[in-house]
Amino acid sequence: MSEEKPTGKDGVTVSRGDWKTALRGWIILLICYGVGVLLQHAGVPLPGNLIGLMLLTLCLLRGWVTFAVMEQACQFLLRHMLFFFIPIIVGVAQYAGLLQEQAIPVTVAMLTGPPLIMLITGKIVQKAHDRIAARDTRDKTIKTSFEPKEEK
Amino acid sequence: MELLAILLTLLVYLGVRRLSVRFPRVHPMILSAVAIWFIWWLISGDFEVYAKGGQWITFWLGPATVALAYPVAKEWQQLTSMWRSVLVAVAFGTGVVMISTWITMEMLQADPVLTRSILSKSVTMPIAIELSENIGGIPPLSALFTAITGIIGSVMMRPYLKALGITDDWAIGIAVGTSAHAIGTASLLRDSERQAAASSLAMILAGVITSLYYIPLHLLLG
Repeated sequence: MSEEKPTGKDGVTVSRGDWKTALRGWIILLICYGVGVLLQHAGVPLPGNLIGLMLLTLCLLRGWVTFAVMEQACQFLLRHMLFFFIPIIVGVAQYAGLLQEQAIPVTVAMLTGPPLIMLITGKIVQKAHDRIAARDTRDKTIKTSFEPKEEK
Repeated sequence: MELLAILLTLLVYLGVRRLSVRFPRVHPMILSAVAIWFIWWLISGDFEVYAKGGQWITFWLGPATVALAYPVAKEWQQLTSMWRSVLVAVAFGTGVVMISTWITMEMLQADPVLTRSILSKSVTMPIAIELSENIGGIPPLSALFTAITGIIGSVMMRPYLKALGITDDWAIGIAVGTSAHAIGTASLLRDSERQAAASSLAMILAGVITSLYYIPLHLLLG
C-alpha cells in the first residue's frame, strides 16, 4: 500500500526497515486484544478492547514491552482509526426512518448531551490545570503579581 | 460483493484522505461515509451486503482501541499528577448528562424503550451496547445513538471548546473523550497526540464510571 513516510508528530522519523520489530509489535498488540476478549467472555464486566488497552498500557509502563517495539503497529492503527468507523457510520443512515416518529425527544437529547459534558468536564480540568500551573509559577517567582486578597 | 464493499471503503477513504490534506476542515470519516453511502446506493442499494463486508473493517476497531495504550502510557506521568480533577470531572459530567437525558426524554414523552437505549450514548460503543441490554434497551439502537453522539461531538468540539475558552490540551482531551468517546478521540488524533491520550483515558474512565452508575438502574429496571 502506498503510505506516506511515517513521521511522528514531534518530527521524529520512524525507521522503516526493521520489519521484524514491527511484526513483533503487531503480534503483541493482537495478543493483548485476544486476552482482553477472552477475559470478557470469562465474565469480566468490561469490554474486551478496554481490557486489552489496560493490559498493553501496563506492559508499556512496567517496561515488559518497549515503546520502540510497539511504535509502528500502534501508530499505523491510530493514524487510520477513523477508517474503521466508516462502515458503522454508513449503517446509521439506514435507521433514519425508524426514528422519525420519536424525532423530537431524540434530537433534543442528542444535541444537548455532548455540549453539556464538554462544558462540565472541560471547565473542571482546565481550572484544576490552571491552578497547578499558577502554583508552579508562584513557587518559581518570589513575588506574586495577581493575588486578589493581598491587593490593599 | 462483500469484497467490493471493503475495496470501495478503502478506495474512498484513501481518496478522501488525500483531499483532506488540502482541506483540513473536512471531516474525513463523515465525508467518506456519505460518499460510500451514495456510491453503494447507486451500484447496489443492498446495505445488508455492505454491512457484511463492513464487519471485516469494524473488527479492527478492537486492535485500534488497544493501540491507544501507546499514547496513554506515554502521557502517564502527566495524568497521575492531576488524576483527582480528571476523576471528578468525568464522574460529574457523565452523571449530569445521564440525568439530563432522562429528564429530557420523560418530559417530551418518549417511548420508555427508547429512553433505556439512549442513556448510554456517551460511552464507547462496546460498553454502550452491553449497558443498554442490561436495562432493557435495544442494542442496535444504542449503537446508533452512540455513533451519532460521537459524530455530533467531533464536529462541534473545535469551535465550541474554543468559544468556551478551553484551550488546555488535557482539558480538551478529557472533555472530548467523555462526551464523544472513540470517534472524538480518533478525530483529535489528527492534531494532537497528547489530546488523544487524555481523551482515551477519559473514555475508559467514563466507561467504567457509567457502568457503575448502571448498577442501580440494572437492579431497578433490569
